[in-house]
Amino acid sequence: MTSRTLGNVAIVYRGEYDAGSTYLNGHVAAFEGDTYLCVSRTAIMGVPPVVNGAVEGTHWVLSGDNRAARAAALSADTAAANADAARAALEAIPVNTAGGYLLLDDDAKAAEIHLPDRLTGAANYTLGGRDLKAVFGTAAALHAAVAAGDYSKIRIGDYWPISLTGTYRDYAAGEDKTLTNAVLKMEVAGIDYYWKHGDVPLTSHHLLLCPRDCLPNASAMRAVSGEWYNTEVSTPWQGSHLYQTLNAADGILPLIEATDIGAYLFAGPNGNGMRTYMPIMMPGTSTATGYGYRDRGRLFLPTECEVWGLPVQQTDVNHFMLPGQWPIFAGTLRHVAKNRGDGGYITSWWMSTFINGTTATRVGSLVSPTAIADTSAVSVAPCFLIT
Amino acid sequence: MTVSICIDGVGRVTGVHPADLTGNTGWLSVPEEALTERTGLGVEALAGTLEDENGVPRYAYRDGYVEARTAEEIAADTPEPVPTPAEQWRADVENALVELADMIAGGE
Repeated sequence: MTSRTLGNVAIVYRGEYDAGSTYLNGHVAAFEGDTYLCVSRTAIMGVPPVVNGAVEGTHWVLSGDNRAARAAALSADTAAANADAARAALEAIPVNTAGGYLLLDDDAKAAEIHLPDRLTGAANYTLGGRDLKAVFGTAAALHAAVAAGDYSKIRIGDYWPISLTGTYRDYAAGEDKTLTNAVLKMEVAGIDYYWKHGDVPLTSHHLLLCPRDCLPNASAMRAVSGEWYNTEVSTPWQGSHLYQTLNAADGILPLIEATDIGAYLFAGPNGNGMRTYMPIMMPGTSTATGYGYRDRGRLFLPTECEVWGLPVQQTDVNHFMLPGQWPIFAGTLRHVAKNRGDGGYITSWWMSTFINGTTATRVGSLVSPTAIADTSAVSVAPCFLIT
Repeated sequence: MTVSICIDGVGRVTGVHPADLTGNTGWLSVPEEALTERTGLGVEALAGTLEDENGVPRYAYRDGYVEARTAEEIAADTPEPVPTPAEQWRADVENALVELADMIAGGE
């Protein structure tokens, strides 16, 4: 026989039996001059203690000094069985894990109860995540699920590994660099995160992917402090050498496009990635003159808000950017802390937010928000959307 | 045991990795002793202190060994401190006051 320690078990006197009340194991009710103990394993209603002049027996027993009844009520096995039944009932409730909602009926219309991710399993970010290649097999299968908006097998923190090999141009360094089997575990940082965002709304189902660790090579944001690579644009991120290093035809983009998941990178309405809200700041200036939607690049970096959930170094309202924290960075620093090279040691990595004309932001190697000269060599975590 | 270290164009150590990353630009494989001999630090401890609070590399790779850079070397690489918004505002106000004083003195 299994025994469990339950602590104190209370007998609750519920007064005169009421056919409209619910009775649980351990409840005592008065009925026709006697008291009866409820020994039912499940909640009962409308079952009187006495039926046709005799004790009902299945759910009720005569109380008072009836030691057998008391023993039944206090039975550890009975209570444990009740707990098991309750747990089984809870586990039997269908859960829409994609949205984290309970499905309360077959119509799936009762989605008002939002369960924390830790209960639904909708987030793996506190753990290591699952290799989605092992789940889906092929990038095409993953893409099909995403395109259909079926996220039942995808959790925040799961990842799709890619390996980059080839030469790319580091525009800030002014030299070609080589990657050899450089592994990036592209973690699911958000699911439909930018849904309907932008002046050309993003209405395709999409995964936001951000690598667990950084590329093995560091890059500067700019070749010369304050110097823009592209002066035809109006945001410092778009004008930076690092934007070019990531997105140019001889940059890192083609190396990622050559991977199995590369065919599904979101091109955006202009072929330069999603549209997002950015500060308008011209070359040679340090203060934003306004805000607007711009192409972010098919490869991009998170902003300070998207990492930390709020501006930290970027405190001037003129440098306002889209607020909101990527789910993978919420509630834990585990994925904010990144290494140089997959499985390497802790490093500092760029964010795309500028403080002024010569200073950008990064996650420091002590996993804190810091500002740094735009010519510093800092690790890079290229992010992208797949749709 | 060997580890990989990443060296920039002037010999500063910018990365450490336990696996063989040779083939990636700047990475070379060295015996673990090359890191610990002159720094007195284990690989992980050294990796956690690769750069200072300004992002300046603390170590250089010389003669086959990783060693601490001098204070002068680090200072030469340290960027100008970034003014806080309050400091910037104060500087802007002071500049405006100076300009105003010049205008008054100049009779403009």
